[in-house]
Amino acid sequence: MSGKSVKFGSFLRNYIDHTDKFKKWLQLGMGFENFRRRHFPDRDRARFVNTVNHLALEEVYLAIKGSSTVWVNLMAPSELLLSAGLNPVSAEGISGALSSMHLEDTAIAYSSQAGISDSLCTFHRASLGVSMRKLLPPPKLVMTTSILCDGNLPTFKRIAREYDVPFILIDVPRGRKPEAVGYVVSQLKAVIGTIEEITGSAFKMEELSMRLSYERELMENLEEIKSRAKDEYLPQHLYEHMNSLYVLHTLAGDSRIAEASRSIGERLEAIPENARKVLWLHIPPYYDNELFNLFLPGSKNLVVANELMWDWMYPVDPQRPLESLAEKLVYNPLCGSVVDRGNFCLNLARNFSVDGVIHFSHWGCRQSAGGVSYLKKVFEEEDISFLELTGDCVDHASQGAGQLRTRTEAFLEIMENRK
Amino acid sequence: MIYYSCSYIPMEVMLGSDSEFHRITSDTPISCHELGCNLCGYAKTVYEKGMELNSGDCLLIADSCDAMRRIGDLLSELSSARVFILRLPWKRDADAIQFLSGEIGDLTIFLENSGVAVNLHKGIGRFNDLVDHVLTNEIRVEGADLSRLYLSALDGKKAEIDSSNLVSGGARKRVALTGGVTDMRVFDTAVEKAGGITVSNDTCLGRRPFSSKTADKIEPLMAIAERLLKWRSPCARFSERISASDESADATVFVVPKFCDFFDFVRPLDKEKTYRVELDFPLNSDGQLTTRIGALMEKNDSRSVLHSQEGTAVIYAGVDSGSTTTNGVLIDGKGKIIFSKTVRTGIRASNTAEDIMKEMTEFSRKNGNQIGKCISTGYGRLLVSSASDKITEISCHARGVFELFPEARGIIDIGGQDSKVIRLNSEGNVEDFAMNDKCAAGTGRFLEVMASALELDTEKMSSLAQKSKKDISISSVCTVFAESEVVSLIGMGEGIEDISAGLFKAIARRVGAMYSRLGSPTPLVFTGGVARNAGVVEALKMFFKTEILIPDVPDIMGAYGAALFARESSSESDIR
Repeated sequence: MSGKSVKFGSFLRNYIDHTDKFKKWLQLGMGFENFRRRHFPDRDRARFVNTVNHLALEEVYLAIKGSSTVWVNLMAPSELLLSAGLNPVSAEGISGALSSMHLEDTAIAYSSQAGISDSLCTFHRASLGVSMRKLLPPPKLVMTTSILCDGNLPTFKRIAREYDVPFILIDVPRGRKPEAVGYVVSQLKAVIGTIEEITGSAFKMEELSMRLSYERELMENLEEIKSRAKDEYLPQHLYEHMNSLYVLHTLAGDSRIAEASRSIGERLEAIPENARKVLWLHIPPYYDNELFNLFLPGSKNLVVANELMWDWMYPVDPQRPLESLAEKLVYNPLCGSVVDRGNFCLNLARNFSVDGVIHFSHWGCRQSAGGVSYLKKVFEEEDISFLELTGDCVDHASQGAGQLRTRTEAFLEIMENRK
Repeated sequence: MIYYSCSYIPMEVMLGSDSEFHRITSDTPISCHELGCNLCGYAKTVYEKGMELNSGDCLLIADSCDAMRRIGDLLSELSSARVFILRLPWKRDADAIQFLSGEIGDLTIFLENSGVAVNLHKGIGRFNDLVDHVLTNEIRVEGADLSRLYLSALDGKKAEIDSSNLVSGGARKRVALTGGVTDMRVFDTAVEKAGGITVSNDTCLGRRPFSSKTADKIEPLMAIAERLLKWRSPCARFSERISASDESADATVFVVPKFCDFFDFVRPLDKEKTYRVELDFPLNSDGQLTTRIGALMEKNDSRSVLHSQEGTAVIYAGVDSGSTTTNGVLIDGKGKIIFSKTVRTGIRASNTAEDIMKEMTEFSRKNGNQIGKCISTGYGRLLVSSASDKITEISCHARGVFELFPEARGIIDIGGQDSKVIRLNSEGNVEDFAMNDKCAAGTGRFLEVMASALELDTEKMSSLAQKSKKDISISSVCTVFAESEVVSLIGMGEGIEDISAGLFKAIARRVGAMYSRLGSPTPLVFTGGVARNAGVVEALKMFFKTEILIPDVPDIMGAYGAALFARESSSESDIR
């Protein structure tokens, strides 16, 4: 993925000041790659992984084409959009796509020139830059939730303003309290009203129920990975973990991903003896980086699970679609306190019987980095090695490659000695 | 004692108890490192305070932002005090008010369980009384007294207003303050040093929490929730435009707290008189702030360019006392430079500046001239006792550049510790400007640190960079990060010439982004010591794809501008 993306990005950079040509080439290149991933998947990889890799790209490709797209944040209930024939794309994913081509600097510089502080998360700064430069066609709608972080409201509101399209905020109060469910349900009803206005047709609740059935099936199939995690794992590159966490949020209600998950059990592989099993917390970097080579499937160092792949897997109920979607939002472990997050991550670590945990503290992400000292304490009390890596998931110029490698290798050595 | 962290903690509830309460503030630097580098200083202040409290204390925190949410979580686990976190909605509609009233109800239960009885009706009455006190008196006082009025009110107390402290209406420039949380004491001092006075304060430690009263005829929890969400001026977290606080002020400072995600998005309409500053809390250096505020106050003053009589033996002096170098310039009555000198400032800025003054006085005596007037500029301008006037380096650079390049509309000045960008109008007056924040990225100091990591001097770096063949990208964020990045690049076997070129590009990107915010005005003049470095000049040319004008001696433009101002503002009585 990465070598080709960077080369393509370097070609696109020639047209960076000619927006029309840039967009034309970008659409052509992404269209080609989308076709390849869809029709010529990698035979050596699990079907689920190939589907995830394809959908992660297709989502951005549809946004580049301008096919009834809605820009959302990672934690938006995109099932509502899919049910109405709209295509959700996560703005974070758009930033990530630029980053994989090493083009994020052009968008970040644009938001910087507009006066946006360098301390704001680069996921937000890059997607803002894209909207300010109009590198992608206008979406039909911009929708965000107040989870996971502060940057969502101002960034998405500004993106909607840049494109002059409707903006929706779904306020999900923090604290995971049952009394917040009603507050969220009434907002979801209002979202449906806006969707009906945009599409010009009545929202079909039965379509939403069907989306939730796919999602429920997906969740049940994925549980198989957890139940067999002691001896087996689903081989994934670090960047594929990133694709999974992304697709399982924005396209959790897509039938293709549910279908691909049916055969997941067949492709689990035995965990090599002496392997060091790692749980990844928060997000790994999107651009090609040193960490990708340190955690190759089949090697001694395996990332067997990542936090954000599992937080969204909630047992939704197709019979009570809106209430159940609201509950999924309210009870998300990341919507609670750092103690809730700690319990959730600790359970994941136990489920996957990991030897170590890596928390990637993305620059500008205060909700995630702000809890690291507590998480470190929790894992160390359980005798699970914990490493905090600080860096940037989007801005490849801020990665500090050598340091990432040294710190991670030293950590892997410590894990080895502890075994 | 009850401690609280945010003005969205309903004061009516605390006033409804007979317990004392205190808004957490601080004016001492924070030493806590366990929270990582990208959380705001106010959140860290609350964390530090929370860790000091004991079991008899209550700590109330609103999850107004990610940082406060996490601080609240951590303190719930670690502090000895009883901690309550008020969940704050993001919306301001009827459903949100309903939700918040439930949260406030939970707060009263929490306090009662902690042994603090609450009478909401009494609390609302006391709060409205306090609002009356604030609104009546805020128009009568200014400066430190204004801050005292608000800070006392945040603790539920009415500050006594001494009639001798009432608004004086003197010659000082009137500065309005708006935006996020800031350290009031240091801010007031910086404004006063710059020759102004704070006349209004619309921040969260100012009038914002007291902007309206609570209705006393409806159900109290709903009334309080409604006051917080609908009637008071909203915090920038709601992403709504903030009104400029005081039309009658000469200048408005809009404070964006460092590492805050909200205030960048809601700045007041970019008016001529408004200036945005990114500040940490608490402030641990006020020098740069004084310069910024000083320049803001000078910005709208147009200065007429006068010319002295020809043939006069009176000459004029300008001293630029910078953090790295001190420059002195003497000009004759026609504005021609007859003497200039640059020395390292060292640790005693005032002695260095006075030494230069002495040397200039001797030089003029020897040549049969008399120094008519001296103006000082730079960070150390207040320390130059022989100067009769002090003007910020922003105005002085603009003046010096305009004299040499009347066609110039933009200036980039990179000094030792800071970088500035300035936009000029056709009369040579400053229309707008921006300065780097406390971080040294994109300054002369940045270059020095990087050169030292490469074991080169900056000139050698520049000549090597010309031979670069490979494009290396280096973080533009921070000197500290960039240094370790350079060390890793060396370790990876990258060429010194490519790393050098990458560093110059990083500076150009950093300063270039700041310049673009002013609209990238051209023709562009590059001043300051770093302008002598061909590597940076080349990188800036590439960045802007434009030619760049550079004065013969770029270091002395500030001192030259100061001397020109001295000449223009002189009268016979100034002659020494």
